[in-house]
Amino acid sequence: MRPRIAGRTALERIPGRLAPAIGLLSALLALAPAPAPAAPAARAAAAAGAGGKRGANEASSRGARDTTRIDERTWVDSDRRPIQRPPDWEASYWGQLARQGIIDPVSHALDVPDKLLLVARAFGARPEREAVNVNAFDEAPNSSWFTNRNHLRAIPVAELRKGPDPVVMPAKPWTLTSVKRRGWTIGFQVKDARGKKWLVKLDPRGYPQLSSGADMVARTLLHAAGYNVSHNEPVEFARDDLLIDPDLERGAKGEPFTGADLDSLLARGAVFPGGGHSGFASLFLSGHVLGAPSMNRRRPGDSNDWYTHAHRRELRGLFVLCSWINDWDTKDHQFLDLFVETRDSLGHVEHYFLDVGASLGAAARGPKDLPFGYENEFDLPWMARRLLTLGFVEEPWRRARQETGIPSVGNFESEAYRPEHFRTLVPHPAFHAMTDRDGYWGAKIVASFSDAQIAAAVEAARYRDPRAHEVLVRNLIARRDKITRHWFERVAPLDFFDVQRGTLRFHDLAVDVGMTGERAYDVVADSPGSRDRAGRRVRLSRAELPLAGLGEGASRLSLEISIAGSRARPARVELERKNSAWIVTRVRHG
Amino acid sequence: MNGGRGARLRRFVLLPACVIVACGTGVAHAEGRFGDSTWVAPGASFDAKPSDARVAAPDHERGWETALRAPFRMVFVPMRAVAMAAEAVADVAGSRFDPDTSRPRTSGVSIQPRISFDGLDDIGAGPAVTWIGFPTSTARLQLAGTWSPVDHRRVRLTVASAPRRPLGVRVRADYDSKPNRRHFGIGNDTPETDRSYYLLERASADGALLVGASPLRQLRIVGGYSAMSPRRGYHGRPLLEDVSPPGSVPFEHRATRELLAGVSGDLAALDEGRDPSRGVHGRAEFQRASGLRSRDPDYDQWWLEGRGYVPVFAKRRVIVVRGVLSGVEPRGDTSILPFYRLAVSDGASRFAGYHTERFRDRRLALARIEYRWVIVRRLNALALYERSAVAPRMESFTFRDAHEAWGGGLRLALNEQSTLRFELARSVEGNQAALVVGGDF
Repeated sequence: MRPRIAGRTALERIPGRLAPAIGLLSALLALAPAPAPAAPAARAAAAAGAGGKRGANEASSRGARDTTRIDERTWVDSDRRPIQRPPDWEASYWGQLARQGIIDPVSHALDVPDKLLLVARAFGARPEREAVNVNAFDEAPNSSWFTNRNHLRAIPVAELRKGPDPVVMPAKPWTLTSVKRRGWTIGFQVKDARGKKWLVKLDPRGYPQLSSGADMVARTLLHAAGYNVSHNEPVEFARDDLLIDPDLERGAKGEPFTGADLDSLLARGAVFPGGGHSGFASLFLSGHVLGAPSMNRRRPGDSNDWYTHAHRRELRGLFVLCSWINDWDTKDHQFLDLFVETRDSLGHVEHYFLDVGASLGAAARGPKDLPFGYENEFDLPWMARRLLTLGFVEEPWRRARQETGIPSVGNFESEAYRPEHFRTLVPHPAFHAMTDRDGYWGAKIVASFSDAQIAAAVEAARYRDPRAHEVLVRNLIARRDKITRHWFERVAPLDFFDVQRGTLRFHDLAVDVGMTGERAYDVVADSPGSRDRAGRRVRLSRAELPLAGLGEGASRLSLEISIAGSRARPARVELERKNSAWIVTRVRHG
Repeated sequence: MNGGRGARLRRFVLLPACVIVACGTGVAHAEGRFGDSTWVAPGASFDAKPSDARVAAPDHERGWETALRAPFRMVFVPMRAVAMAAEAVADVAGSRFDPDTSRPRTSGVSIQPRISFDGLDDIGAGPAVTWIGFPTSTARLQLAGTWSPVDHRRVRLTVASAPRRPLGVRVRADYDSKPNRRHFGIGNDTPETDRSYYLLERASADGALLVGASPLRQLRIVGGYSAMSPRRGYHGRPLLEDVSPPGSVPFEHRATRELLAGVSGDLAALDEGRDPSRGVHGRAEFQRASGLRSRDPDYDQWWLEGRGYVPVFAKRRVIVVRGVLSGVEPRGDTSILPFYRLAVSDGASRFAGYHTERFRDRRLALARIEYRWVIVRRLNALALYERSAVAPRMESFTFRDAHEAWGGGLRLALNEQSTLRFELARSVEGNQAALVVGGDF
């Protein structure tokens, strides 16, 4: 196997003067509705043509790709190999919003090949592109993006509540070193009494614990699901706990920031009844900040970054988790890439999912707007429906009773919630590319959370209003159940296949989580080279298939297992005979 | 004896052993269920040590998909170039809207780009300088200038005291020079074919005492100065002097200057300032103009406007009615008014479905009914029906002679004082598109 990115070789041979022009033309061609991997190649080539360092990094990565072993059965995708630090890069914020928010939806609407593929689907074709970084067992292996956690081994409740690290609060007093100037959230950087750097964000005025609570709950669940998150703590502090760094106060690196400015800043944040300011503190991550990754491409200069981000399983399946916690503001700039040095100035890139305060019922300026989570900001289908019906169509978010009346919860509900209709404010390329297999994987993670674990995640926010805890737990459980039902009825939740003593055992996750009672399964067995070639049909009354008598004389066995009487897409399992015993070699859902 | 020992052995040793073995076997087979606190997935090596292996080769577009998409990509190259340009513009423009959350701006000078619209063929751009805290600590000065490709030049200086105060002051100075203003003649029946162009240079300055914190409930006492000068135009053919017989257009080449004094006010009861769905809004203006020189005219001008908003079962669907009546009346020795001082269908009194400045006379009346419905956030779609007319006297208006138009469009509320409207309306003279920025309707 010789993994290559199409077109790279040809572009690298282009004379330096022509490379930028051809790179630009290639980039134009690659600005297609479907994520096109030629774009990074073209841009890298353009950079190489300009004599940039990026070109050297790409060249060195090529050799590594040629020699790296591909192992479909691995549970660890080795993307932490030591590399030189890639150049800082992130897509421009507003440009990205314009592209993903407006240009891409219009492009998709005008995309003729997509329509042709849609027609092909009607004739049974499956033209959708599946996620790349999926192992033989239909799981995303551990990587610098994701670590398999709760759905493979349940996290003890106490451990889950802690999040990524033990509880460490920022020690007071805090020295304010800089002020957050971009974004809607009010915040500032501080150095605590122990010298640790934190980013403190305030809750919106009148809504103590709204954003901070949502952030804590969301990041605790996301961490338990497997994503890299920062160390956050809900905080209460007084004005007297803050000192202003002398350099900041006299404006050594910009505009001066005085005590009066700080008072004015704090006045726009939330205050507890006792007078303390409400917010959360996020510990600075260690490593060099490279910027937010783009979902439409790979990180330039990172030779470990093999897969277009929109085609990563953990980013596609994230849709289901975001739908669960109503993380309506997920976009490229909610992620952050850090270069972590390991030795001799070499290291690797770690990918974090940050800034999830715009989840549940919260927004930076108060309770979330009612359409958030239900519609894209620029939602062409809904706009068309409203236009054509003269405004008489009633959107689901109008019917949903979202207002909880609890300041620390905002607008959050589960009754009208439909998992598949969740929408982020800006369409997310990975979510757009999601297939049923990715959705099932995400749903499996959501379903793995027990009621006690959900309650523990909500406890992490330390809500003072007892109503907040009750409402959030109730709604998160209800939303989890809806997600489970939706995806498990779409894709047969038959998983974790294992051969024990000549019997193939598996779990029906719907039965495990109590969604349904014991049920029967239909199996179609096929074994190339076997005497029994026609495909043998077996009905199982429990999640066990004795393999004796199947695939006699053959070295491989293919099984298609479906739920009797269900329209859910079956699971396909491949087994191989090794030393007279069968082992599971490949699983595919949906 | 032996049999009894054997039986005891079976009873006390083998039986419990069997039970233990059976239980043990049971324990060994009892797996945690998915979703339980004891769950451990069988067969998953999630603690596996890192190896050098990657799970899959780098992804690339499938060959057949490239072949399918390539022709369309070629065809859509121009659109992609436009998309890339839009992305770049969004990046530059977006950063201007990015809020600085660190502190509300209370003082200082800033420069921003300013775009001006005066029809789809007259879009101008220029800088705008804002000085917060000048001349007093709570006041604001803004100086903006724009130029458009048709050489439309605009400069505006505004100095205003702090907004939202019960008593305020505003001083304004304007300069506007547009070389392709249209003239179709005076009266309600002028033919569309009589179009000609001229240049009008306007300069004005006024000061106002504002009584009332909200612009929607405010009385303004105004005094000022106005000068207008019509000249030979360009960027349009034919020119006014080329088609009109000498003396047929009053004050065709004569500049006039006046001192102005008047009063204006707004009174509204609305459920929301930016996108009202229920309520009424009235506006009245009266100004007395006194010529500075003996040859300059004396006249009164006035404007009456009423709006009503009725929701159609929900706030997001609104029927809006709007009526405008404006007039200009010579006073004292003045009997003839300059053509450029007459009421004209332009700006807030533009007639839908007709060219701007299409009709002018001493009186102007406009009645419109609009159905608006929300498309997304502050963007509304609208369907409109309008009847409008000009006349020399109030009693000359007849319903039958009014110009009719109907159409639709979009309305984006930028703030309480400003909207962006795009309208496409049809009249007997054909279809007319209009892009209007800045009106509050």
